[in-house]
Amino acid sequence: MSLLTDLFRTAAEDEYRDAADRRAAAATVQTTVPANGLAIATRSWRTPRVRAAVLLTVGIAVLGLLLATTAIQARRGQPAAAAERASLVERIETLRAQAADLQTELASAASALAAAQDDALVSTAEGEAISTELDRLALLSGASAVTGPGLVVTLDDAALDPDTDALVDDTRVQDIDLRQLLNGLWSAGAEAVSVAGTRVTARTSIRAAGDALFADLVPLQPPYEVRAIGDPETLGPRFLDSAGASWLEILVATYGIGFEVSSEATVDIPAVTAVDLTWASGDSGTDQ
Amino acid sequence: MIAAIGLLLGVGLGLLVQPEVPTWLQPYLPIAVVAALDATFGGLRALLDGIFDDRVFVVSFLSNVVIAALVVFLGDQLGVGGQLSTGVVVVLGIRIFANVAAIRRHLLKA
Repeated sequence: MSLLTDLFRTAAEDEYRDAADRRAAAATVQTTVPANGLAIATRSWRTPRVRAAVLLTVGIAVLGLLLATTAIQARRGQPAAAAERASLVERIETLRAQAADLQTELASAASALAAAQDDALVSTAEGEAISTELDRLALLSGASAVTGPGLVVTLDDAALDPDTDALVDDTRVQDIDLRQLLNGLWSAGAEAVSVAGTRVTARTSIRAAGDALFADLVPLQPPYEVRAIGDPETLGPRFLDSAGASWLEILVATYGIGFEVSSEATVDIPAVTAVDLTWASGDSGTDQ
Repeated sequence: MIAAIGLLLGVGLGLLVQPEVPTWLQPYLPIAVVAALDATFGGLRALLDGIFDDRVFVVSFLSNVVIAALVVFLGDQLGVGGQLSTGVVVVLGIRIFANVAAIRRHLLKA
């Protein structure tokens, strides 16, 4: 503690005391040997009292200048940070708009390609057969948009009751709940499925990252609307009998998750945004 | 009185001129201000004690400011700038508190 005590003791700088002692000593000497005392009596810049006052004023003025400058500097820093954030937000929005534009361009190019393909194939009988096969594969791979009778299933987070001490995570729809629902729909004979406007195929990922759910890296917002197209006679009943539906019934009963199924005469399901092929190759260990 | 005039003069000048601080000096300005505060309160206390000395005041003011900035600069070079600034602020803060307490005793007798 001696360091802190020392700090308190020397807070008033010793030099002031020393200088005062020296002055007192000099004064004693002066009184014993009196010199021309008249010159000191006039109040001028040279007088220690006036000089002290002026220097103290200047010192405090410098302090005030420093204070004002630092305060201004500190305040200037805040708008700079805000401007930086705004420019980042702007960049994100521009890139999002660019991505949307490219998406539209891709969709129109894909439909032009499909039309050209049909034109080329429709002329011969052999081409007709290929065209039918292509349509079937496009439906399965999600390459074509689909319209037809089907189901619309809506999942929603439970309304959070502040009185219950249930974990917040339990009252949210999780990625596994969504996957169970999709598997239930597939097993009930759904031909095409989408989650919140994203076509779900055999290659779509439904994942959770933090608190958000993602379908093929597209963030999803509750309520989650899942559409499925299939045989209007059997899709509904078979889905309600499936393991996926019973999983969701348990969630509804236990956590109050929102779960609604409705039958629709026409359901629109978009195509996947990009169809690409992934294949394995045996030679020289190159991964594709 | 003198102190109030000086302070008003300095703050007014700073707000009026708004001097541009060079970038390399910006990190050391706040710590220099704290050091200047310390020297000023020391001087005010000496004034009230009746032992004020102009030479000591000027020397302590300038050396405080320069040394505080220098210590932080050195810390920055060694990668402990943040910690050293904290140290400097703690030491100067204690001194400022002690001196202001002495000034308060002088002025309010309490």
